[in-house]
Amino acid sequence: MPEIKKVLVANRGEIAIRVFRTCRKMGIETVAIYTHADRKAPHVRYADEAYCITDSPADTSYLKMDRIIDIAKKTGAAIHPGYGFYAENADFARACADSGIIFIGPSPEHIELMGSKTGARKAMMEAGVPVVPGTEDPVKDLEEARKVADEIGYPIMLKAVHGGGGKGMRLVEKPEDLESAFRTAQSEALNAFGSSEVYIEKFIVQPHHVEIQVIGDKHGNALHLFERECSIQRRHQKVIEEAPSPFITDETRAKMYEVAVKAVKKLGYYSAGTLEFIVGADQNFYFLEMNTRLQVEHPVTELITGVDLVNQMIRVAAGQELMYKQEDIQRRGHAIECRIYAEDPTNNFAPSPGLITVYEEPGGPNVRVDSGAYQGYEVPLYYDPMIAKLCTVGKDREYAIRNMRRALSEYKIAGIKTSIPFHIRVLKNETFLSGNYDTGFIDNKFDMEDLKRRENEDVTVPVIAAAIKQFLSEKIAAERAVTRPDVGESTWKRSGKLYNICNRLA
Amino acid sequence: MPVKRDYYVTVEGREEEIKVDLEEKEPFLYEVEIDDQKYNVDFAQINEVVYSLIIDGKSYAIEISENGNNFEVIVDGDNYKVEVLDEMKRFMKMRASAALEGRQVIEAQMPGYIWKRLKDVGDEVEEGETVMILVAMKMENEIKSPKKGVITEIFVEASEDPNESTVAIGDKLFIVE
Repeated sequence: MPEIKKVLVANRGEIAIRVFRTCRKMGIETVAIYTHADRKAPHVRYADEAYCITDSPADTSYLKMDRIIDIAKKTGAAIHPGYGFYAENADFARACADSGIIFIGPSPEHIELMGSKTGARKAMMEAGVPVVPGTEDPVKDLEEARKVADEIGYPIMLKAVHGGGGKGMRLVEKPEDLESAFRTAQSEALNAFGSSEVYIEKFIVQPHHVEIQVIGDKHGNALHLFERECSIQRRHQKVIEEAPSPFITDETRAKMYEVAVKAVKKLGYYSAGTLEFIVGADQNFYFLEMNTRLQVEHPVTELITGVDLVNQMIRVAAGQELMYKQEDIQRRGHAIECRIYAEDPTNNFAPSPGLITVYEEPGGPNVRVDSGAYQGYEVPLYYDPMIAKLCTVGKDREYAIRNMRRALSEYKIAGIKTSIPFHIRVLKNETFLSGNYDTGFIDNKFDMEDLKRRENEDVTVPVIAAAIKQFLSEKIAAERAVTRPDVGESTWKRSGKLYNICNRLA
Repeated sequence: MPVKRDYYVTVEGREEEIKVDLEEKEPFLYEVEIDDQKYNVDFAQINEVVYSLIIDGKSYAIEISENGNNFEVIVDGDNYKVEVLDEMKRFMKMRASAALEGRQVIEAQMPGYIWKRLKDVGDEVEEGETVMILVAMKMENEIKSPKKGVITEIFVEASEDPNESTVAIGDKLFIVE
């Protein structure tokens, strides 16, 4: 059985540090890679060894496969891909295997299978996992469309086979609307994509995004680590995640756990993974996709279970059995995660890279911060805007949220804009607090103007603060003007200046 | 010796101007008068942006960013843009804005690089029409004209190489008149 003594993380930022932390705890040495833009990044200093992967200053990518493999070979390290970059790249996993490097993740075949939308859907159907009802092939004509729609029930969605980005999509709520919608979708598809082929999918009303964290080993063991609710999304990007889901019933969650574990065993999947589901208002759930990696939101699961997922991934990659049986995994309390992005929520979430001049993390009981930032760090222009993840836990949802509000108010980041004010607003929103929110929350239930609106319209505090600050700035400027012996300025002139300033301030 | 100052303060989104009389009693202890209401204030700077403010015994931890006479003040997650002027600066500002009426300078609201320019000097633009595209953190951001008019000046070149067309916050992009 191979032993892992050193781990290279083919990634940057908070996730690199996250993996390194577990390695250090396990007595495993760590290797960082970095680009010129990231020379001062914290993951570089955290690791035992660090190697630059770029050849020129202008190159800012972490996608230098040969160079990464080369460094891993030279240092004798296994590779953990984190998330993003090479995390779900079957070629990379295969290249590691071909070079005799342990890849801390699933097999290339599993990455490939789950990376294919149709392949994953087929594999899951075979494993008994419910998928969104609909046709896999294009429907021939209106008659067939009508037959399929009647079978799966309205509302349905017509989608262009070669489409994407929402184009060529038509929602049909009742049978009498099908004919005209079908013709329109066909003609839109033809105009936009050069093919009139459309297929049918059931439309899920008030969809929730609920995912099941799973982990398997190479000995046929598999278990679930409960679910996460990830319905708070903006532009299809998750913003807040929590566990357990405040929406699904115990009956639904038991069914979801069962099918997820069964699927992992049937697939022979090993390493950490996540089955993403769409859950309708009627509690019916359907498979969306499987992420074959450690996810951004994994701390939420770690907080409610106490399981270190990276530790288990490393054990599994080394060929060991999982440390836990299903009955060992107990759920304790409620956890919530806010992703802190370098974005300006009051300016339509415009990216906000730059120098962090003040950085104070929150602390106290039941708070976890996974961060790749520090005071004096310059957030680069080139990468994803996420700079930290703030997680809190409480005995129940209400306490976890209260703890998060407290932690957000303690988080001080200056120099750049962050999504913290947005999180504060969401955590005060009635719909969010009720727990009855779906993926349409930000578009339908959250007023962006709310970010600009103040809870307390009494502006006394900001007015007093700004006035005193202005006064102090003038005072400092006046003192400097008096004490600085400017070159070429006569004593008489300086005396005159002093006289004027004193008069102005008096 | 106590020092007194009078200011005219405007808060973004509010039309009325607030007259503030400020008197420094001792270093960092102030008496502030707004609309005949007097407040005793203890003001302490904690770090570059974090301040402790005690107003009549009530404690606030606030953040202040300063840019000339403009301040951004964050109180409990609420963001306030505040301008503080003395009488002279207020007069100068009114005179300048009268002179520049109709002319608008568009500045970069975020750092990034200008990837594409869709308009040239002399082109007519409609309100909301895209003039250039600024890329930051892998996202394209359309820089639009805030009003109908003619582009009279453009300050930046466009390039697909981020190093050749980088802009910082506050850099002038173009003028529409």
